[in-house]
Amino acid sequence: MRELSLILAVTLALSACVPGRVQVDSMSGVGSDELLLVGRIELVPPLDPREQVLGSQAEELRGKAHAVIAGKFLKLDGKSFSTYSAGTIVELGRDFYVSQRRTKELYYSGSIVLTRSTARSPDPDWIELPGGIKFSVDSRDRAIYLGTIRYHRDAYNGITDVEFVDEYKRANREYVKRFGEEIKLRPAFPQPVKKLQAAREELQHAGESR
Amino acid sequence: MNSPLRIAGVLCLFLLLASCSPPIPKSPPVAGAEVERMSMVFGYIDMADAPSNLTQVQMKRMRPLDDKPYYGFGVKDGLFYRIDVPRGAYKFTKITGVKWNTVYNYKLEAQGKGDLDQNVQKPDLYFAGAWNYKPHKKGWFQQDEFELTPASSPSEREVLERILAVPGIWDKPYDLPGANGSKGELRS
Repeated sequence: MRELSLILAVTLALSACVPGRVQVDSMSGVGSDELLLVGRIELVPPLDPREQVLGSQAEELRGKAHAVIAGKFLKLDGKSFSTYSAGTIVELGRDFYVSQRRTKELYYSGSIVLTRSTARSPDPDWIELPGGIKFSVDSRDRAIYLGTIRYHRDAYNGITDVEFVDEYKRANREYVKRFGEEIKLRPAFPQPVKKLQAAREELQHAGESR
Repeated sequence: MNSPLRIAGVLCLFLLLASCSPPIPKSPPVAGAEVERMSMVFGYIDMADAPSNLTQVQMKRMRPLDDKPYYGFGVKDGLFYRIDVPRGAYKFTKITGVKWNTVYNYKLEAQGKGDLDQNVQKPDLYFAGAWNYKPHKKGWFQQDEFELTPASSPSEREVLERILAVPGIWDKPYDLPGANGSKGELRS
């Protein structure tokens, strides 16, 4: 058990060195086979700095979420929450702009690292943000707006509600300021939460039966 | 759970046990406002089916936020107890055991209010329950999993009686037998 903990700690330490995808600030950072994704993740009540024990090497995760947006559903858990190259670190409560390889469908999952594993404190801790959220992509899309995903939590960090908030007008204004008007930002909202939850469970069952 | 009568009842029980047990527990050397602010959180885990015994129990104060949120417990024969717990929402995060020279850490559900977790709103006794460790073998090259299932016994009263019978429990109420440290220390 101790060996497994050590392996897990080393794996997490190494994986923390991989930043995943970085945010882009111009369309030149988006390849011809890629999309620009625009969205926002919020946590209610917001994260307090005292909730995150990160250490100097992982300070970049403070006040941020780890979002995984990929062409297939990826279940985040403690063993793999920061190991996907599809992952990106986004600031909570602010719009993100990331490039994404073009696929017909996009799946989102998220987590927030609360305690980073260290030699002194090998137990990682995190808040899993329910994922399995699907967005459809049109073949003509170059930039799509995913909306604001607002997670409500209780005192025990249980996610009690997930809201999808349409802030397209505001987000589009910011987008135009940064990227210009040449490429339109298309809203691509997800399905209603209940359907998403059912879809998520279905995906989980499918994954387990494989 | 939340009645002042319960505290009085336990104190009566304590006095009763004190009067008939050979190892005479001393009265707690805490009094007045200090006592009025404290709560006791306690419970029991049967580790008979676990690969180790039980040596540590840890809970985290989730609200209000605290710079040192981790609380250790006194542990004895599956019993766990802590008597100086202030108001707050608490989540049990980890239990630990030892067999031979190997330390076993069992991480509990990290998110959402679990069955053991407590919301300490006013000074009282908070029973985190009696539980059985149930292993789930996952096979070669996979880490075994486990769950804590409710135990039919001991009852809350039995757990309290056993705790009160622990020799020396009132000698150093802030340095409980088996606690291996004080509030706020992160232990692995």
